[in-house]
Amino acid sequence: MTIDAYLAELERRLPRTARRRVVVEAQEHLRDSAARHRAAGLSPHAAETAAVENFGSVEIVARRLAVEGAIRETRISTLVALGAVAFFVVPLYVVPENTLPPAPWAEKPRDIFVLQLVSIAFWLGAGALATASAALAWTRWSRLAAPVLTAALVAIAGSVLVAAALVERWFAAASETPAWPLLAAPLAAGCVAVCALATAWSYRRADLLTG
Amino acid sequence: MRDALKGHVDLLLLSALEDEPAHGYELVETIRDRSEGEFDLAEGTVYPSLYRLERRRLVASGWETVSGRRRRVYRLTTSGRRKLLKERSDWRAFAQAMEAVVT
Repeated sequence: MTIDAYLAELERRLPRTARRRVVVEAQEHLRDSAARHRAAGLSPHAAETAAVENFGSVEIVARRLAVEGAIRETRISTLVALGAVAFFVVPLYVVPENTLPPAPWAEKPRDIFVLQLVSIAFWLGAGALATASAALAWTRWSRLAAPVLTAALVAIAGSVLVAAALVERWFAAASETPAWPLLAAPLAAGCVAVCALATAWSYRRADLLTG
Repeated sequence: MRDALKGHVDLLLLSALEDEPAHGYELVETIRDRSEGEFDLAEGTVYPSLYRLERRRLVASGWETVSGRRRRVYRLTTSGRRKLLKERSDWRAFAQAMEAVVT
Protein backbone atom coordinates (compact mmCIF):
# COMPACT_ATOMS: atom_id res chain seq x y z
CA MET A 1 0.00 0.00 0.00
CA THR A 2 1.31 3.48 -0.82
CA ILE A 3 1.45 6.29 1.72
CA ASP A 4 -1.33 8.18 -0.06
CA ALA A 5 -3.59 5.12 -0.11
CA TYR A 6 -2.89 4.46 3.58
CA LEU A 7 -3.67 8.06 4.53
CA ALA A 8 -6.88 8.03 2.50
CA GLU A 9 -8.03 4.85 4.24
CA LEU A 10 -7.05 6.21 7.66
CA GLU A 11 -8.93 9.45 6.99
CA ARG A 12 -12.02 7.52 5.89
CA ARG A 13 -12.07 5.56 9.15
CA LEU A 14 -11.46 8.45 11.55
CA PRO A 15 -14.08 10.57 13.30
CA ARG A 16 -14.46 13.88 11.46
CA THR A 17 -13.30 15.85 14.53
CA ALA A 18 -9.92 14.06 14.66
CA ARG A 19 -9.08 13.82 10.96
CA ARG A 20 -7.06 16.94 10.23
CA ARG A 21 -4.50 16.68 13.00
CA VAL A 22 -4.08 12.90 12.73
CA VAL A 23 -3.64 12.87 8.98
CA VAL A 24 -1.03 15.64 9.03
CA GLU A 25 0.92 13.87 11.78
CA ALA A 26 0.69 10.49 10.06
CA GLN A 27 1.73 11.99 6.73
CA GLU A 28 4.86 13.60 8.18
CA HIS A 29 5.68 10.43 10.09
CA LEU A 30 5.34 8.22 7.01
CA ARG A 31 7.43 10.61 4.91
CA ASP A 32 10.23 10.49 7.52
CA SER A 33 10.01 6.75 7.77
CA ALA A 34 10.10 6.27 3.98
CA ALA A 35 13.13 8.59 3.78
CA ARG A 36 14.93 6.44 6.35
CA HIS A 37 14.19 3.29 4.35
CA ARG A 38 15.35 4.95 1.11
CA ALA A 39 18.56 5.99 2.87
CA ALA A 40 19.01 2.33 3.84
CA GLY A 41 18.92 1.37 0.17
CA LEU A 42 15.28 0.52 -0.60
CA SER A 43 13.61 1.68 -3.79
CA PRO A 44 11.06 4.51 -3.40
CA HIS A 45 8.15 2.08 -3.77
CA ALA A 46 9.62 -0.47 -1.34
CA ALA A 47 10.43 2.34 1.11
CA GLU A 48 6.79 3.52 1.12
CA THR A 49 5.56 -0.03 1.61
CA ALA A 50 7.97 -0.56 4.52
CA ALA A 51 6.95 2.76 6.11
CA VAL A 52 3.28 1.82 5.93
CA GLU A 53 3.96 -1.66 7.37
CA ASN A 54 5.93 -0.18 10.27
CA PHE A 55 3.14 2.29 10.98
CA GLY A 56 0.77 -0.59 11.66
CA SER A 57 -2.59 -1.91 10.52
CA VAL A 58 -4.90 0.92 9.51
CA GLU A 59 -7.79 -0.81 11.30
CA ILE A 60 -5.97 -0.93 14.64
CA VAL A 61 -4.51 2.58 14.39
CA ALA A 62 -7.88 4.07 13.37
CA ARG A 63 -9.72 2.24 16.12
CA ARG A 64 -7.33 3.42 18.84
CA LEU A 65 -7.51 6.96 17.54
CA ALA A 66 -11.30 6.72 17.40
CA VAL A 67 -11.36 5.89 21.12
CA GLU A 68 -9.64 9.19 21.85
CA GLY A 69 -12.10 10.94 19.54
CA ALA A 70 -15.01 9.27 21.30
CA ILE A 71 -13.83 10.50 24.69
CA ARG A 72 -13.53 14.05 23.37
CA GLU A 73 -16.93 13.95 21.68
CA THR A 74 -18.57 12.59 24.84
CA ARG A 75 -17.09 15.41 26.88
CA ILE A 76 -18.24 18.06 24.42
CA SER A 77 -21.75 16.62 24.16
CA THR A 78 -22.20 16.51 27.95
CA LEU A 79 -21.01 20.12 28.27
CA VAL A 80 -23.39 21.26 25.51
CA ALA A 81 -26.29 19.46 27.20
CA LEU A 82 -25.34 20.93 30.58
CA GLY A 83 -25.34 24.40 29.03
CA ALA A 84 -28.76 23.82 27.47
CA VAL A 85 -30.20 22.56 30.75
CA ALA A 86 -28.73 25.54 32.62
CA PHE A 87 -30.13 27.97 30.03
CA PHE A 88 -33.57 26.39 30.45
CA VAL A 89 -33.98 28.47 33.60
CA VAL A 90 -34.59 31.48 31.30
CA PRO A 91 -37.93 30.34 29.82
CA LEU A 92 -38.78 28.39 32.95
CA TYR A 93 -38.22 31.10 35.52
CA VAL A 94 -36.51 34.33 34.41
CA VAL A 95 -38.99 35.34 31.67
CA PRO A 96 -42.23 34.59 33.59
CA GLU A 97 -40.89 36.05 36.82
CA ASN A 98 -39.80 39.33 35.25
CA THR A 99 -42.52 39.96 32.67
CA LEU A 100 -45.84 38.81 34.06
CA PRO A 101 -47.93 41.31 36.07
CA PRO A 102 -49.00 40.30 39.57
CA ALA A 103 -51.66 37.58 39.40
CA PRO A 104 -55.17 38.63 40.39
CA TRP A 105 -55.62 36.07 43.13
CA ALA A 106 -55.15 36.85 46.81
CA GLU A 107 -53.70 33.42 47.37
CA LYS A 108 -52.14 31.34 44.59
CA PRO A 109 -54.28 28.29 43.71
CA ARG A 110 -52.72 25.21 45.23
CA ASP A 111 -52.57 23.21 41.98
CA ILE A 112 -50.65 26.03 40.25
CA PHE A 113 -48.24 26.16 43.17
CA VAL A 114 -47.73 22.38 42.98
CA LEU A 115 -47.18 22.47 39.20
CA GLN A 116 -44.56 25.20 39.63
CA LEU A 117 -42.76 23.16 42.26
CA VAL A 118 -42.86 19.98 40.17
CA SER A 119 -41.58 21.75 37.06
CA ILE A 120 -38.69 23.31 38.98
CA ALA A 121 -37.97 19.96 40.67
CA PHE A 122 -37.73 18.32 37.21
CA TRP A 123 -35.39 21.08 36.08
CA LEU A 124 -33.21 20.73 39.17
CA GLY A 125 -33.12 16.96 38.59
CA ALA A 126 -32.12 17.52 34.96
CA GLY A 127 -29.38 19.90 36.12
CA ALA A 128 -28.05 17.39 38.63
CA LEU A 129 -28.10 14.57 36.05
CA ALA A 130 -26.46 16.68 33.33
CA THR A 131 -23.76 17.72 35.83
CA ALA A 132 -23.21 14.10 36.80
CA SER A 133 -22.99 13.14 33.14
CA ALA A 134 -20.38 15.82 32.45
CA ALA A 135 -18.41 14.72 35.52
CA LEU A 136 -18.53 11.06 34.40
CA ALA A 137 -17.21 12.04 30.97
CA TRP A 138 -13.96 13.09 32.68
CA THR A 139 -13.52 9.79 34.52
CA ARG A 140 -12.79 6.18 33.59
CA TRP A 141 -16.57 5.63 33.70
CA SER A 142 -17.17 7.83 30.66
CA ARG A 143 -19.27 5.06 29.09
CA LEU A 144 -21.97 5.88 31.66
CA ALA A 145 -22.15 9.52 30.57
CA ALA A 146 -24.60 8.85 27.71
CA PRO A 147 -27.22 6.94 29.77
CA VAL A 148 -27.09 9.56 32.53
CA LEU A 149 -27.48 12.27 29.89
CA THR A 150 -30.56 10.43 28.62
CA ALA A 151 -32.04 10.61 32.12
CA ALA A 152 -31.31 14.37 32.12
CA LEU A 153 -33.12 14.67 28.79
CA VAL A 154 -36.14 12.84 30.17
CA ALA A 155 -36.14 15.15 33.21
CA ILE A 156 -35.94 18.31 31.09
CA ALA A 157 -38.72 17.00 28.84
CA GLY A 158 -40.74 16.31 31.98
CA SER A 159 -40.17 19.87 33.11
CA VAL A 160 -41.49 21.12 29.74
CA LEU A 161 -44.64 18.99 29.96
CA VAL A 162 -45.39 20.09 33.52
CA ALA A 163 -44.66 23.72 32.59
CA ALA A 164 -47.10 23.40 29.67
CA ALA A 165 -49.77 22.12 32.05
CA LEU A 166 -48.93 24.99 34.38
CA VAL A 167 -49.36 27.58 31.61
CA GLU A 168 -52.69 26.09 30.57
CA ARG A 169 -53.90 26.12 34.18
CA TRP A 170 -52.59 29.67 34.74
CA PHE A 171 -54.50 31.07 31.76
CA ALA A 172 -57.65 29.32 32.90
CA ALA A 173 -57.33 30.89 36.34
CA ALA A 174 -56.16 34.35 35.17
CA SER A 175 -57.45 34.85 31.63
CA GLU A 176 -56.33 38.48 31.47
CA THR A 177 -52.66 37.47 31.73
CA PRO A 178 -50.79 38.82 28.67
CA ALA A 179 -49.82 36.05 26.28
CA TRP A 180 -46.60 37.53 24.90
CA PRO A 181 -44.33 35.91 27.56
CA LEU A 182 -45.27 32.67 25.79
CA LEU A 183 -42.70 33.72 23.19
CA ALA A 184 -40.27 32.11 25.62
CA ALA A 185 -41.68 28.76 24.54
CA PRO A 186 -39.35 28.47 21.50
CA LEU A 187 -36.45 29.02 23.91
CA ALA A 188 -37.65 26.09 25.97
CA ALA A 189 -38.10 23.95 22.87
CA GLY A 190 -34.63 24.96 21.69
CA CYS A 191 -33.07 23.92 24.99
CA VAL A 192 -34.75 20.53 24.81
CA ALA A 193 -33.75 20.09 21.17
CA VAL A 194 -30.10 20.94 21.92
CA CYS A 195 -30.15 18.54 24.86
CA ALA A 196 -31.65 15.81 22.64
CA LEU A 197 -29.05 16.33 19.92
CA ALA A 198 -26.22 16.28 22.45
CA THR A 199 -27.59 13.07 23.95
CA ALA A 200 -27.81 11.43 20.53
CA TRP A 201 -24.24 12.55 19.77
CA SER A 202 -22.97 11.10 23.04
CA TYR A 203 -24.19 7.65 21.90
CA ARG A 204 -22.49 7.78 18.50
CA ARG A 205 -19.23 6.22 19.63
CA ALA A 206 -20.14 5.14 23.16
CA ASP A 207 -19.33 1.52 22.27
CA LEU A 208 -15.65 2.51 21.99
CA LEU A 209 -15.54 3.74 25.57
CA THR A 210 -14.59 1.51 28.47
CA GLY A 211 -15.71 1.59 32.10
CA MET B 1 8.42 -8.09 21.91
CA ARG B 2 5.53 -5.82 20.82
CA ASP B 3 3.11 -7.70 23.09
CA ALA B 4 5.52 -7.41 26.01
CA LEU B 5 5.57 -3.63 25.52
CA LYS B 6 1.82 -3.27 26.05
CA GLY B 7 1.24 -1.30 29.22
CA HIS B 8 4.70 0.26 29.09
CA VAL B 9 4.34 2.53 26.08
CA ASP B 10 3.35 5.53 28.21
CA LEU B 11 6.49 5.18 30.31
CA LEU B 12 8.63 4.82 27.19
CA LEU B 13 7.12 7.96 25.66
CA LEU B 14 7.47 10.01 28.83
CA SER B 15 11.10 8.90 29.12
CA ALA B 16 11.80 9.74 25.48
CA LEU B 17 10.43 13.25 26.07
CA GLU B 18 12.42 13.85 29.24
CA ASP B 19 15.39 15.62 27.66
CA GLU B 20 13.73 17.68 24.95
CA PRO B 21 10.49 18.15 23.00
CA ALA B 22 10.02 15.88 19.99
CA HIS B 23 7.52 14.96 17.29
CA GLY B 24 6.05 11.50 16.90
CA TYR B 25 8.60 10.06 14.52
CA GLU B 26 11.52 11.33 16.63
CA LEU B 27 10.01 9.60 19.66
CA VAL B 28 9.78 6.29 17.81
CA GLU B 29 13.38 6.69 16.67
CA THR B 30 14.56 7.57 20.19
CA ILE B 31 12.89 4.49 21.66
CA ARG B 32 14.27 2.28 18.88
CA ASP B 33 17.80 3.68 19.24
CA ARG B 34 17.92 3.53 23.04
CA SER B 35 16.67 -0.08 23.01
CA GLU B 36 19.18 -0.90 20.25
CA GLY B 37 16.36 -1.95 17.96
CA GLU B 38 14.63 -4.27 20.46
CA PHE B 39 11.60 -2.02 20.98
CA ASP B 40 10.17 -1.81 17.49
CA LEU B 41 6.76 -0.25 18.12
CA ALA B 42 3.84 -0.37 15.71
CA GLU B 43 4.57 3.26 14.96
CA GLY B 44 1.00 4.43 14.36
CA THR B 45 -0.10 3.30 17.82
CA VAL B 46 2.24 5.88 19.36
CA TYR B 47 -0.23 8.63 18.44
CA PRO B 48 -3.25 7.36 20.39
CA SER B 49 -0.89 6.99 23.37
CA LEU B 50 0.37 10.56 22.91
CA TYR B 51 -3.22 11.86 22.64
CA ARG B 52 -4.14 10.00 25.82
CA LEU B 53 -1.11 11.45 27.65
CA GLU B 54 -2.10 14.89 26.39
CA ARG B 55 -5.69 14.40 27.57
CA ARG B 56 -4.30 13.55 31.00
CA ARG B 57 -2.14 16.71 30.82
CA LEU B 58 1.08 14.73 31.15
CA VAL B 59 2.32 16.08 27.81
CA ALA B 60 1.46 19.22 25.87
CA SER B 61 1.77 19.73 22.14
CA GLY B 62 1.72 22.43 19.52
CA TRP B 63 2.33 22.93 15.81
CA GLU B 64 5.80 24.06 14.80
CA THR B 65 7.41 24.54 11.42
CA VAL B 66 10.63 22.57 11.23
CA SER B 67 12.67 22.71 7.98
CA GLY B 68 9.59 24.00 6.17
CA ARG B 69 7.40 21.14 7.40
CA ARG B 70 4.51 21.45 9.83
CA ARG B 71 5.12 19.27 12.89
CA ARG B 72 3.16 18.52 16.01
CA VAL B 73 5.78 18.74 18.74
CA TYR B 74 5.23 17.17 22.16
CA ARG B 75 6.79 18.21 25.44
CA LEU B 76 6.56 17.00 29.03
CA THR B 77 4.43 19.03 31.42
CA THR B 78 5.29 19.46 35.08
CA SER B 79 2.73 16.75 35.91
CA GLY B 80 4.27 14.55 33.24
CA ARG B 81 7.71 14.96 34.76
CA ARG B 82 6.35 14.03 38.20
CA LYS B 83 4.56 11.04 36.70
CA LEU B 84 7.75 9.94 34.94
CA LEU B 85 9.75 10.02 38.20
CA LYS B 86 7.08 7.98 39.96
CA GLU B 87 6.71 5.44 37.13
CA ARG B 88 10.46 5.12 36.80
CA SER B 89 10.82 4.45 40.51
CA ASP B 90 8.05 1.84 40.38
CA TRP B 91 9.64 0.23 37.33
CA ARG B 92 13.05 -0.02 39.00
CA ALA B 93 11.53 -1.68 42.06
CA PHE B 94 9.63 -4.10 39.83
CA ALA B 95 12.64 -4.90 37.66
CA GLN B 96 14.83 -5.42 40.72
CA ALA B 97 12.30 -7.82 42.24
CA MET B 98 11.92 -9.71 38.93
CA GLU B 99 15.66 -9.96 38.61
CA ALA B 100 15.96 -11.37 42.12
CA VAL B 101 13.32 -14.01 41.45
CA VAL B 102 14.12 -14.99 37.89
CA THR B 103 17.92 -15.18 37.98
